[in-house]
Amino acid sequence: MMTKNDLLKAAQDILAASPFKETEISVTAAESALTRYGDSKITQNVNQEKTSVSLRGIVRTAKGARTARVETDQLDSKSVNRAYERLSKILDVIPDADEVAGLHPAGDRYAVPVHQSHDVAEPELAAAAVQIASKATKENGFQSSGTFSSDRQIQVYANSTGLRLANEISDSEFACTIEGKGGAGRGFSNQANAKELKVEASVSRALEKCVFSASGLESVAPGNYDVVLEPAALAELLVFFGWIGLSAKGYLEDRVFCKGKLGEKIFNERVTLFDDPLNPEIGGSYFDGQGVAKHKVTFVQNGILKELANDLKTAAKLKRGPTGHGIEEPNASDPIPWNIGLEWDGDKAANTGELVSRVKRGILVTQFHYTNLVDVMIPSLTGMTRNGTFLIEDGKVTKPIRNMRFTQSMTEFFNNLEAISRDHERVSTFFGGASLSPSALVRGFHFSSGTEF
Amino acid sequence: MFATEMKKLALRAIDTAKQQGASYADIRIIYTQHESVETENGRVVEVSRDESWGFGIRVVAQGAWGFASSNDLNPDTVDRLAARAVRIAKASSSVMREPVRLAPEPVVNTRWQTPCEIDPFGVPVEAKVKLLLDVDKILRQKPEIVRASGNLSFTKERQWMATTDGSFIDQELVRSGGGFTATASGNNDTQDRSYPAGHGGNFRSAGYEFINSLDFVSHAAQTRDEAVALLTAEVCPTGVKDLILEGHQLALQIHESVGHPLELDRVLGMEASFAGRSFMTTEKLKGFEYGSSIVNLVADTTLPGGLGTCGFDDDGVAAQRWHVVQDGQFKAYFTNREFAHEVGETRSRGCNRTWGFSHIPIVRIPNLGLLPGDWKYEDLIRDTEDGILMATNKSWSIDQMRLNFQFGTEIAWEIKKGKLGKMYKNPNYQGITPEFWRSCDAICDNDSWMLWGVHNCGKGEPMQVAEMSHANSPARFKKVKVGIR
Repeated sequence: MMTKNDLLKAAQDILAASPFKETEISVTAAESALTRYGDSKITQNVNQEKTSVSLRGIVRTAKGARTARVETDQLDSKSVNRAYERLSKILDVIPDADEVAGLHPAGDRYAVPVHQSHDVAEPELAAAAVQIASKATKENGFQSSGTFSSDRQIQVYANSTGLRLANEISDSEFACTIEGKGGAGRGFSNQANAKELKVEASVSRALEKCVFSASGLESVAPGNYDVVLEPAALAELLVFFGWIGLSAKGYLEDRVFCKGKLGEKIFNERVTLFDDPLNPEIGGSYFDGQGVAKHKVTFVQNGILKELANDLKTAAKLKRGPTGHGIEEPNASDPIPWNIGLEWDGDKAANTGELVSRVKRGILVTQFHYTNLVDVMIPSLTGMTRNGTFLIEDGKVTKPIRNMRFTQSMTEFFNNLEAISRDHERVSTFFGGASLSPSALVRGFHFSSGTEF
Repeated sequence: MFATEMKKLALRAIDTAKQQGASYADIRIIYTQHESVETENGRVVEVSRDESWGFGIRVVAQGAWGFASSNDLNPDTVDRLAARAVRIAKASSSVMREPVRLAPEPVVNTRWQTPCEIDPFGVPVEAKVKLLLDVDKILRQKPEIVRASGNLSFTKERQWMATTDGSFIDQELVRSGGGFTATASGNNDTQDRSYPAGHGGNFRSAGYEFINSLDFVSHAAQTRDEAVALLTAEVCPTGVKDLILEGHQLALQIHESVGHPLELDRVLGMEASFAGRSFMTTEKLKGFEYGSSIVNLVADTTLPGGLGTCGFDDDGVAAQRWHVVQDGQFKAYFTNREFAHEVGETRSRGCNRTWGFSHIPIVRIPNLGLLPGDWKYEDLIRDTEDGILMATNKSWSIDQMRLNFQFGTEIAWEIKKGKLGKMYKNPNYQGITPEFWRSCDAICDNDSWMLWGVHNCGKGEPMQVAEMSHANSPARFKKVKVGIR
């Protein structure tokens, strides 16, 4: 894999070859290894290497400007020149636009942190982890499935204003789902270095939950329940809410529930929602696709809508600064946050168990599955529980129950939030994104139907 | 010339893998061209034309799988990654229950390509931009439209596959599609209406002739007017109704509640941790009533225009057609060479597909269609006493066993005493898969049967995207829960 310096040099050469006065390029080199297991055996085991370059040119005309982007995964000068030729042909024929996002200038106001990156895991390390999961389940008559993954990525952004950004990150995850005899449980661990993944602890956690939930499932009638959401469940709602509710483009086009409410109270005053992509536990990129350095952004502070996810175009329209949520121009997509976190200016419990102790009759949810939108203007979401759903009675988890579908207004959700835990976990969510998420106690959470398992 | 060079490189890779200890190896070298054009509110917001080259080598060594891929076609890199794939396979073999067993397949040396009348990459960009801007102009003729967006997308994928069995397949797949959406705002609401479908439109394995057939301009005014009308429409009522699903929504219903549950890798637990398993466990091959007796669902990778149509899958298995549900009874799964024997079959159904060069092939939904019935569309409406007609998928969610589902659509209409009535906004419905398909009591005939392409089906880890079509004509389902709050 190319080094960061190799990539910076390549970026410089590619930029120098540009026939356009205004050019921006992104060069990425990545390697990933993923070992996948199911039915307690390794089913897929892959190693992927990829380098790519993305080129954008801007041409100014008397009537406006034109911009377009092309990509290639071949970095040799012949391929790059071919890519520039394709770009020139496009820019020759598309009409002028009155609005084109310019290049982000050099001299960004935010510091870029440097974390150590790590090589991807060797296949033998991943196989050893799978053996641990397989052995633990075999002894109990259950089946295990999951992944051991690691990746390393170097990104370089450069544009003709002189802005140069380089980013080297690594991430790894061990995920283990254990199922059998009607029960299910999940454990997971994330680290920058795959050698530090907590494999045994993840397997134990999944197994413990599976054993408990395999003790005979009961059905519970749909309706409103007090719920304790474990970090994986809460993270799913937080990240999805960020996608559908906090886009500045959606705000400008009146397509979000909070339209016209910037600066106004939208939730319970104890709720603060933020995106902190630079937190080392999140481990994301340090700059966005438009060359804007990322930083912590607070969207909702004590219930008041303070900020939206902006790119360069929406920030200019709203007369605010970009928030580091832009994707490569040109595009028609919404800038969205990927790492929504929750702060709570109120009652906090030490952990999930303490939240459970405050519930007279309710439901403990381990995880949500396939969350999706019901109504963007409420906004309401639906999805299913999975990997361990339990009845809480008199402050104790008493029995496993069959999975249920929720249909829930997120405005009501934040207003009915009563407490969160002080401990938290880094959770990767189903459709992408990640959150440092606590557990939460929410009153009157709506389940609309059940299922057979 | 190209094919000769690619064949040489491919054979070098699988020879290296054999020398390193592979008992089986295959390689796919893939060259992809992709073009997209996107407009929004009178502006061209994206025009891109991308190229990608790379290879993925898959091996069996010591009875287990290994895979490595790269965009670097240098022979030294090919050798290095062939050896890497073998090392990975050997690591896999340390957690193995039984050695990989591949169903036999005839050796072929052939070329196949998507029938294509007009090469989409030969159509000037300015013609594509003009089409979308013409539609955009019509959409924005009403002030309630806050966003008019349109897109066209074209992919040409040339792939050279070689296997240690001796097959060499040179295949070129072409896909074209697009659509547009009018977003209206007002009355403290926002509503989308799309043509010909949501989520980017409709797609086919075809050339630009498919875009011409969609006749975007003629449909723009109605799409715009429906978006505006939805702002003041009543919210879909809550209750139990007879439900008629139109094409795009029925396609998603087929996809999520028949397609994914019948992927055999999923049934066997290979997707359990991420996407989940399936309620369609293998003992149901002995007899299971999937739907009512009028329900016939056919998989067909030979179907002209189907997004999943190909000459051969990524196992090198020739395209096929078979019933998965016949007269309501479950008949067969989607299989690959590795898993066919798990259900007593001697040959793969040819459903192993990969996303580009960099991923390993996995079992995917092929083209899967609901065969037409004998109802005229007008007669079906006339025959419905208390129903609701829903069209154009907006949202979907289904549990990890593929039983409890909930779908939202862009628009719905009341049906009272055989007549279409008022428009409803925010429609949705919920059900349990076999109960739902067993409640199907009417399917429209061939006159309204058409292909709907799903061009963004995600599956696997690392996530892969695949394409397939779900042909259908509108169908009625009895006593369905609608208007879920």
